[in-house]
Amino acid sequence: MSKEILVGFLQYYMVPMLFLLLFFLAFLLIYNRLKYAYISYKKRVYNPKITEKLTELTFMGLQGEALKNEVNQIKTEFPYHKKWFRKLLLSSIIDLSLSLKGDLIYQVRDIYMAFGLHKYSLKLIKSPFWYTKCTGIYHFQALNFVHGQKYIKPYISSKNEVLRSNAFIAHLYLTTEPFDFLVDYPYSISAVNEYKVIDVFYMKKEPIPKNIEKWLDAKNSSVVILGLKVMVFYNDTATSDKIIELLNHVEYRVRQEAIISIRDLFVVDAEETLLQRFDLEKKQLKIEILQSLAAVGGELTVSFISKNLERNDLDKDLKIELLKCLKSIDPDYFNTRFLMDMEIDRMKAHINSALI
Amino acid sequence: MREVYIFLVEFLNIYEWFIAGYAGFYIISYLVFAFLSYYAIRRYVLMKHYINEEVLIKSNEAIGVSVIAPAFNEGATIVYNVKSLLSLSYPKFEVVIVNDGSTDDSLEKLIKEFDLEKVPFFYQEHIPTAPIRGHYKSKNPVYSKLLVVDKENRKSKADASNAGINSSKYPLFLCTDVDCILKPNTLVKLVKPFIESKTRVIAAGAAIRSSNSCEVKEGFLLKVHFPKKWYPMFQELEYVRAFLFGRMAWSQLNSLILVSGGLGIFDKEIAIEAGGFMHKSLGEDMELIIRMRKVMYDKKKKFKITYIPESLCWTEVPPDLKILMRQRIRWARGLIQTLAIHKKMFFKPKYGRTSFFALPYFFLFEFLAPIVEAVGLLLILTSLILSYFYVGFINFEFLLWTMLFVYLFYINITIISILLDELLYKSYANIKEIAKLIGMALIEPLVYHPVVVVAAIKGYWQYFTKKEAKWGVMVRKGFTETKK
Repeated sequence: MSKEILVGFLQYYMVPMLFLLLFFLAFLLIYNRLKYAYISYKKRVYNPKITEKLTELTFMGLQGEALKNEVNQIKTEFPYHKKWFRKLLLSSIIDLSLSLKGDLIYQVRDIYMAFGLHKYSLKLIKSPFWYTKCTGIYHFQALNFVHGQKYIKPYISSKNEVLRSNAFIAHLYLTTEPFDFLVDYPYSISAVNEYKVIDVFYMKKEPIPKNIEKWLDAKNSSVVILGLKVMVFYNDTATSDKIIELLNHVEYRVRQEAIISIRDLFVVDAEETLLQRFDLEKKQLKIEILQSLAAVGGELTVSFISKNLERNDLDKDLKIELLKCLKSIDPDYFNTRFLMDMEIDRMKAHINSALI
Repeated sequence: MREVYIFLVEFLNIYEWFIAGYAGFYIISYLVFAFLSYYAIRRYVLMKHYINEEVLIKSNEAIGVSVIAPAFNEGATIVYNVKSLLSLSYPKFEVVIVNDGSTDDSLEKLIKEFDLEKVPFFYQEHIPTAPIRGHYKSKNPVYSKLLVVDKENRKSKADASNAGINSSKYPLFLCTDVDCILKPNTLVKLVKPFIESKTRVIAAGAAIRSSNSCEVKEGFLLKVHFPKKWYPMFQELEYVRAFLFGRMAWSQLNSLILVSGGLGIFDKEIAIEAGGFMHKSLGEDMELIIRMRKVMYDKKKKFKITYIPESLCWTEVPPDLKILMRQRIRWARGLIQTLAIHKKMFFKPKYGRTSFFALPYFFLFEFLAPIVEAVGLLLILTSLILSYFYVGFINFEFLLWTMLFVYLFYINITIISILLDELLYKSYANIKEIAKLIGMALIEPLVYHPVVVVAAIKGYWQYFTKKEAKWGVMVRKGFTETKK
């Protein structure tokens, strides 16, 4: 390509195009900010008014026609036909619902329905985009819209991981069935979902599943891990034998969760198995084992620690953990032994410090 | 003489094609990056649906994070900054302040304010550091999350950070500067990639902004403002472009080799295995990331290094030319030093995209670009002088249109970055500041960019002439009062 052609190309096409793009982007930037400033202003004006009206409406306890009439009155007082207003109203209703407890949340849900906003949420769920579906699902979940469950259920087996996760959690929130059905959950439960499921147990104050023992036998190791977490959450020690068996599970994460559960549930019978597993595990699990032994260990552990502390090749992280464990089980032994070892002495000082 | 002139013209013809190819490749890569960063940002924004941050904050099972902040003569602001770090919202974290042999009253201020007492801490030197003078913990339970490490100065931030890593107790550590102001939800945001990803995440970073004109009270950010002084203004633009445009694209390619030392979260196990921050490095953040990547490649383990497009950290950027030059010279030296250290990683199949893509790109377009620009300017100047004698060798019409094209392309990229930031986070206070940003973007390539090029060339020169490397002192103005 000769320079003349290139110059012509730049002069007549590229440079003018970039100029136009620049003006367009600058315009977009300014327009976007002006729009934001306008909406923010409106929000500042209407937010307190909406909150006041909603609180009033919630505590009035109106039902049926009376509630509809009151809602219609609000619709005429505010710019309800504007999309931004409806969004603002919906977010205020959700905030109110999340901040309330007891039967009042059902009153908020009735207000949500009286405004017809559940139809808007349903429209979002029916959208072709997974992220819009997630928003609609969240509305149903946050507002305890139990009737919406049937619209959420199909997405529990969605191929999209985030949609599947959100639908699954919303289903747990909204279902009136006991959580026993989780034992047959076929998918792997990610770390994120573990957090979310435990949160559902916490928020719903759901009773412990009757078949929790079977969760520990599940083929899906995610269900086993979840089962252990649920048992810890409810301080359920009825199946301690099974938890001990899980110390020999093939999966690292299951073994780790079992070790933690033993500590949290004070499964004293696990001492021997924990000691047997110690040499078979990697450093991180060894530390977890020692922390559990600190809670459930006895004489066997003390003698095990004494032997190990004499080893020269011992990793320092493990050494200090052994000492912590020893102190927790037998403080006298901890204070009176290993007096000639300078390193142990420094570790002891560290452990004995009340501030560290 | 005529032979020399002919040779010069011939040479320039070849050089011209080299530059055309170079610039073309650069522009194409920017266009590709634009799409990649858009995709990465969009994905990040959509992933907000995955887990509600409240759930993480409430959880008993959150991954523990040690926040490590080295401090050298930060007496003016240290108390407020530590309070700010301690107020982060996260269920399981500690703040490790490393007093790196300060010669001012930093340590005394900390002892007094936080009621600290020297403790018999069992210090394990996983990474070798300068001698530790002591560890301090607070007698006040309110500050139980605080650990102060007092060490001898070894003239490097890397060494102080390593002492912090050695003293930390959690599996993740976040490195920041003590003068950085973090958003209260920084830890939640940065830990999220570690729990959301199925592949092991070994490091993550987020965007950093200038705090120079922000309203700050007692270490807490009240309102974000676009900087008022010229150099911080340009740096702000640079930061927006680099974080939202560059690093998000690199993150999308899983080829990030730089997580900023001002705000980065790391997997402690891998960082220690990699040997921690390199004490003698001037670009220790980039250097560590490359070594961490190397560790994972050597172990044949899959991994990810991610960036999030949110601004979570505000820091005082160099307020004047002198300090800016010093910082950029150090960065340039750090870049070339890091590339030289890892030269054996180039084009080795074992090191995957780091060796075939990230490192060559950094060599070609980060290291070489200032040199190419300087040579270009030199040639233009020479031709202008020779034109006086009617032997000029540059077609000025061609030059004008290509320069205009490059200039407009550059500005468009900057404005797109600002637009992305505006659409996502509305970081600035009002329309006036947005207009100012646009204005600054227009003059940045002409006023500020040459300074950066000169600093880079100077840095390379100092590297090749083996001038002693110095960190220099950045005088903090402090945030004792609300800045408006």
